[in-house]
Amino acid sequence: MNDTATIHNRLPVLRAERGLSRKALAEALGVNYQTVGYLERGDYNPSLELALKLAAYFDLPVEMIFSLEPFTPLSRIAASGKGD
Amino acid sequence: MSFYIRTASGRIPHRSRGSLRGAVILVLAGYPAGCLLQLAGGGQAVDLTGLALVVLSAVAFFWLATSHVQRIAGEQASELDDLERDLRRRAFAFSYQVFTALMAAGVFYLAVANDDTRLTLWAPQTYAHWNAIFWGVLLYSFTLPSAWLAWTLPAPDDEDQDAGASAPGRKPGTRWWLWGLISAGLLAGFILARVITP
Repeated sequence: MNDTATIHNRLPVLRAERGLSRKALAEALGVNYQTVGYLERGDYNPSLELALKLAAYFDLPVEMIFSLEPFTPLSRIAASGKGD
Repeated sequence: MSFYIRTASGRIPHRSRGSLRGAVILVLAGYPAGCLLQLAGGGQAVDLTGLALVVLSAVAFFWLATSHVQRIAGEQASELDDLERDLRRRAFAFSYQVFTALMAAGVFYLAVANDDTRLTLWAPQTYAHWNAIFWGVLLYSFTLPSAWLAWTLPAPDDEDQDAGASAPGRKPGTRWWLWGLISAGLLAGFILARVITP
């Protein structure tokens, strides 16, 4: 659905951490419930407005939620933390 | 130009991608095929087949008019979210390209058909011919954005399906302006037909 570069995101992890359904997150953001699914799957790159709304909702900087480069998996971060 | 019909319950009915694509093909191919069959005039059976195709394409259009893809194309912009507005922009951009190409081809054909007497090309002459073209242009303008959406919108996954089942609907208000416009159009068409037809 996107003609532009894929923007990677941490939405599924953030949503799971807070125990939110897609519908609950969609209602909080004022978007259609399917929009959250499209965002999570990388089928749609959000507008700046929606990205900022998400950042405000999760109380995180935008770059912690979206990135042009793939995020390091949490399992690898945890494993490297153990090794230290 | 497009519009969307909200259902009486306010819910957006689930339509599979296959059924949406089938309806779009029926509208975009069935209507011109039906008109051409009626124009060919190869007997009562051919005329009835043509009429049946036109009626089927109209039914398919009204079936499509309540779908979620038609909602993206025709609902008021304030009712759409970020993704839906983006999809609408892209669907309209696609429709503009296709529609202008079709119009240019049609005008070119009419110019050749009316000007070049060595070729015996058909050209619309009667009120019925122009009436069929008018409704065809309207059907195409209403359906092309939905056609793009029916082919490009990814299918929702299981979690989306579950959320959709419990999503509340927005009940439609009485849109007097729409019904007024339809009634005025029907009345104007009837009067025009009475005046023009000998």
